[in-house]
Amino acid sequence: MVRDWKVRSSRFAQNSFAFCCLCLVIFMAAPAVSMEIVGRVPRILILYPYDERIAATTAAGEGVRTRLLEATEGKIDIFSEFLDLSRFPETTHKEKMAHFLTDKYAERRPDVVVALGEESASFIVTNRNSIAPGARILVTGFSSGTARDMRLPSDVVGVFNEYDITKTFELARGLQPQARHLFIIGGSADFDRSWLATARAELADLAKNYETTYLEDLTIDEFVERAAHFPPDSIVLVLTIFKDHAGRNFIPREAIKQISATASAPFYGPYPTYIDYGIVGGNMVTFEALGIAVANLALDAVAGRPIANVDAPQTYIADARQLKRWGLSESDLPPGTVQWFMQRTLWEQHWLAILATLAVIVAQGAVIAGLLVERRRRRAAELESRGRLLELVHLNQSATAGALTASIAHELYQPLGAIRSNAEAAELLLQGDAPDLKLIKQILVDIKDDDQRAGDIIARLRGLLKKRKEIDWKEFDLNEVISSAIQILGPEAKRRNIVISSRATEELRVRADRVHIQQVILNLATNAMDAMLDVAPTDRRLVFQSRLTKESKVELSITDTGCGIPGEKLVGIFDAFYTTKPSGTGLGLPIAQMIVETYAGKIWADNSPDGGAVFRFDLPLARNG
Amino acid sequence: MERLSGTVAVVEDDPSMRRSVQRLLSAHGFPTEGFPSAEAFLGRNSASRIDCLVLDVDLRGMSGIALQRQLRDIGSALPIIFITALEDSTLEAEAVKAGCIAYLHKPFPASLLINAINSALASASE
Repeated sequence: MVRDWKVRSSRFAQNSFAFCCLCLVIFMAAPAVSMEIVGRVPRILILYPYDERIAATTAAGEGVRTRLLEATEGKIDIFSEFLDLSRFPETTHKEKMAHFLTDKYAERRPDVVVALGEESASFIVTNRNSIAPGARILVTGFSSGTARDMRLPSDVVGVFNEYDITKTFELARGLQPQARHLFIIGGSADFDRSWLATARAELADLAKNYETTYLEDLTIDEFVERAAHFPPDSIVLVLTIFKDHAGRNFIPREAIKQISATASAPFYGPYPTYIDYGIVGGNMVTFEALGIAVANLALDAVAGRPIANVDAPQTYIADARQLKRWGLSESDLPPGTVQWFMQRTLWEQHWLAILATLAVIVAQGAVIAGLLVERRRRRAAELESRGRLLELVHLNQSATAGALTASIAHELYQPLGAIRSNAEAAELLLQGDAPDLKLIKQILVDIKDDDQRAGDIIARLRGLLKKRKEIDWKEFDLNEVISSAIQILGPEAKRRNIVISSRATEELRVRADRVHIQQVILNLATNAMDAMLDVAPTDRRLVFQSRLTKESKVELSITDTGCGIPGEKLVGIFDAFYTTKPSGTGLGLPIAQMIVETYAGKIWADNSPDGGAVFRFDLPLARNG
Repeated sequence: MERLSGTVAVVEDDPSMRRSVQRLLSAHGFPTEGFPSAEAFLGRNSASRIDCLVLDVDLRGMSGIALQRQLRDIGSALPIIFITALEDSTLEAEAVKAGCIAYLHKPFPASLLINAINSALASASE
């Protein structure tokens, strides 16, 4: 069974305990021994008093080892020996052990020996000259009083653990400021009694403010019974119970576990081993802290620095589960208190990570939101500008239709006039005695054709006026749109004695809204037609030429025989409100430019060598797939 | 009433319109001769006698008005009936001023054309 090393060691020291009264005893620092280690790493021998299963010494030893490796970055030789003096306390075993170690370390004499616990300390002090001649001896795991009682040589330096029950009481008072009762529990063994005596002396002043009761000379059952009926405003300090009044032996923490299980008030104690056995907490020395402190001494020794006895650092330790059990607030704990068994919330454990994560998420969210807002704004702006463009194009379409009304009406009146005359002719023919049915049939065919003609004109007009809310993306042959534009312009051109000719080579597929592209052509063509007003009627020509460029662009040029564009005006000709004619809106060319650019094309103007102007635009060739 | 009959020339560049007018006139018993342009009319075989001219105002090349002016300039008294699909009051005023029997807007009722031709032939035969 694993026994409590600290308590054990205290028990072994019980005879001396009465004298020590826990006051600080500092051995004078031993004269600095110059320790020169040349050409090799330092050797540290750790002596464990028992076997490797004793948790307390193992924890202390691990503290030493971890600290040494960490401080020297692994440049150190650490040896461990488990003396097993608890199960083999006989002198012969110790002698054999000493011989064995003397032989074993003959070639590798330790520079420092760390003895954990009194047994180890006694062993090495006795055998130091054979096992580790010239080595520094460091001890820990017991009080300075014990050390004095052992009469350790003056060059042996230690880390001593002292117990101050008043500090444990301070912790209790902090947690229970309303408490009015104080109970101090101790067993009937000599050590227990000495502890009680110590506590009486130490607590004398502080206990005056409480209704204080020392529970001693009770059997375990009596302890349990009394503890179950403590007033709720009680502080209970437990010292040690190695033996109860009935003479029954206990491992103290097991006894305390039994008593505290059904107690009606919180327990406090000076040993870390009591934690998890029912106490709320106390002022304690941990084994790890002992190990680290003694390792620091070893490091100083190896480095040749002077070393002196030190007290092991004491820590306030509390059991988070017990705090919760008794409804005590952790904020009332003394500063620096270490909480064990803390069921920390995710927030408490990882607040930094959580904050960082949240910050990242918030930052990302902000960026994403910003981008979304920006995208929405951009889309809205695009839609708005596209909407405006569509609106503008429609106004432009209407203006074109308006300008062409006369010629369109003229165009429409032709078939209507023909239909009327044909119909009346047929009517008259039918009134005759022998109607020429063949002629009548011919008339009906003509009527049908003229009706179709009229319908086509109206369809073209509708196409011209078609309003778009969205771009109607279609793939089509640019030549078809050129033909349709020429048809729309035909009557007007005829009226103005303008001869339109068109030269197309091959099918030129583009992807766009054909109504828009038709509008571009109409704008350029009407612009060209207007430019020929002052030209002799026989010299008015408008030439459409489409082609595929080397850069795989579909290009249309519209050449007129007007007076051309003055050189200085070539650049700004597509600017809004640039107009050369009194009736023009000045929007035809800029709208044409906007449309062409919407479909990833470009538009430009030039003068032809023959004197007229040439307007060109290109569009990307639509590729299948 | 005695029916007057003389050859009516139809100068109209729209083939269907020209054809329909010629049919209408034929149905009413008038011999017709069709010309697709003013130039074609002027260049016709002068042997053929024309008693009345149905003339489209808006001809490609020489316009109807120009033909009227030219005929007047050479001293022709050929009665002219204008037919047009244009709505142009200036042209109409000019045509009327230059002296025409009628100025008809397409599509026109057959009776207007026939009445105009009858009065043209009547005036010509006076």
